[in-house]
Amino acid sequence: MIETNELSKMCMEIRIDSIRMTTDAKSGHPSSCMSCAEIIGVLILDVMNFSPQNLSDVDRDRFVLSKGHAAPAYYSALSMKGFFPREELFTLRDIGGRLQGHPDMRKTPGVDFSTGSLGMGLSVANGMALACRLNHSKSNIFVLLGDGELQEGQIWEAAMTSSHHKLSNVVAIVDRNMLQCDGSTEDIKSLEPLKKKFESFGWSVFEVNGHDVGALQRTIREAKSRDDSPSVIIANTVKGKGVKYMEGVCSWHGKPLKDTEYNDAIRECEQ
Amino acid sequence: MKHNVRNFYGNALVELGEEDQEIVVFDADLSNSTKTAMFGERFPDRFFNMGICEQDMISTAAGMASCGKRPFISTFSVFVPGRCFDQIRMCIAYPNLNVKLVSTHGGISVGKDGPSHHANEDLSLMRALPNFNIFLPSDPLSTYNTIKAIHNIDSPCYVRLFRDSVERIYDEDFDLDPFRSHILQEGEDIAIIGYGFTSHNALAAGRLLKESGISAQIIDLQVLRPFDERTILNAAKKCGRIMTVEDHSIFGGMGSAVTDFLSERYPTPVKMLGVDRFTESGRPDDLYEKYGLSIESIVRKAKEIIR
Ligand SMILES: Cc1ncc(C[n+]2csc(CCOP(=O)(O)OP(=O)(O)O)c2C)c(N)n1
Repeated sequence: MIETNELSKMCMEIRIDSIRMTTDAKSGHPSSCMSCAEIIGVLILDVMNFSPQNLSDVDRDRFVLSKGHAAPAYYSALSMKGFFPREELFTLRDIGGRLQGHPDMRKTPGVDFSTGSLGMGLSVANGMALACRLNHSKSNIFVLLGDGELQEGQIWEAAMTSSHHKLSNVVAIVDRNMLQCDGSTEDIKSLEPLKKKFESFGWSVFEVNGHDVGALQRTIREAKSRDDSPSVIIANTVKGKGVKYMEGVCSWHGKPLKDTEYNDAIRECEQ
Repeated sequence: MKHNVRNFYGNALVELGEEDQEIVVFDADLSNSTKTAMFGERFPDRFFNMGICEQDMISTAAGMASCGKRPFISTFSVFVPGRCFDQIRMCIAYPNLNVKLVSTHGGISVGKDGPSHHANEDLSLMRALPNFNIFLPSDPLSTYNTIKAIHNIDSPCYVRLFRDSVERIYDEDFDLDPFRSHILQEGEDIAIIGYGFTSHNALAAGRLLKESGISAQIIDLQVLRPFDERTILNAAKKCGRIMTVEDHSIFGGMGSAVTDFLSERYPTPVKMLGVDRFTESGRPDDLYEKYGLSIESIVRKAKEIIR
């Protein structure tokens, strides 16, 4: 377990990298990365049994970034973990590069599954968990979902599959930043009462402040130790977290910062 | 004697299940019709009835494949790929995972259930996806050999089966290569290409044409990708005229594939028989007659072309 202060700094690096990478690429979804920088950091850098050295180990953990548009944050964490050199981060979205706009398991070392079309990742995670069960493996399967993404019907098909098969090694984390592309989730198609929805689908539900690294470290570990049901962690987050004028502002979705804006933004994060 | 090709699919699956522990099978509440239930009875731990959740089924199977399992997935051709095209595209085709889709009840062979269940677009959808191989078995041996053979290829495959029972085209002990198109009758006036159920009608039409002095080459396509270029090119060169007969839309189906290929390599007139509209309920034979796929319609069309 990495010391919480140390890990918090690494998560902030993920946030800053995401801003840099998308500014450099002049495209991408920085605010969607900023809301899940801590979640991704705690998972990949701390909780998961997963490294470039143990990829073929049957007991290693797996991760599906179902909200694939947060790829820059994922790539940043993977590079910290040693899957590829840091400089490569700035080839994001470049032609001929290995870092596609959305995760590609065939191109990017460390990516366990290709995503980008929302709503599919929980089913994929269930499939991995079922394969692990057949292999008598002890892997945990983690999947990060957007909250707007939960409007996809397939998510609820998959939620039934997880509980029907008692896939207790599946841990879903919802990046509950209350926003999607066009506005607030509660205005567009409300998700609440979200906790009750998951409970009624047979899941153990946890809630946590998704920017509190220590709380994430504890809660994710607790969730993965459940052995009677799948677990979901509703991580309350702020979209655009770290840069005041982006925080909770929907119009920043899918919009990179300009060269002129980004030094100030990074300074603000570093404070 | 007529046979239901789906039983040969079920048998082949059970045999594969014995040979290979990594085979897993998925269905979406149609396992008695698709015959995956045969596998389910024999290997309950490796059979997953996903309920009526085609999208979830595809992505779940793909997740399993990413961990080294070798999934076969079945439901009706109208639902896979129709209901879950994006899942097939994103979770199977794009990552090039070893998942086999075996859909049953292709085309208007479904009959009385009507247009909601007539799968006339599945090939157009599947042809658009890179990485997928596409197989169209025509009889018991063709079905069995195809299923056994695709197990050995480490990439996605789509296999389309049909509902009607059929006579054998190939003798049980014939060494049938499922990766080739097969000439069922030699001829030189016109080449008639069928697949699946329509190969049977094409063959019967070829025999009738022979009686009226027309020598038709009859081809059972069997596989759409990898396309058997040599057999089709030779047929075009020899006959100079092609007619395709398919239980599917003419927009993007096998006829289109043949035309695409020949227009680049050896431009040849191609007449496409198939549907171009939403169909209707009815007995399969009546539907084949009305929509131009019956033996008599094929004979009539061939005579028109040759005169
Ligand atoms: C199936 C699908 N529909 C639409 C999109 C386009 N899209 C990309 S991100 C997004 C909003 C996602 O909202 P949410 O899941 O809440 O993620 P976050 O707010 O954290 O970015 C949309 C609609 C997509 N990628 N996939």
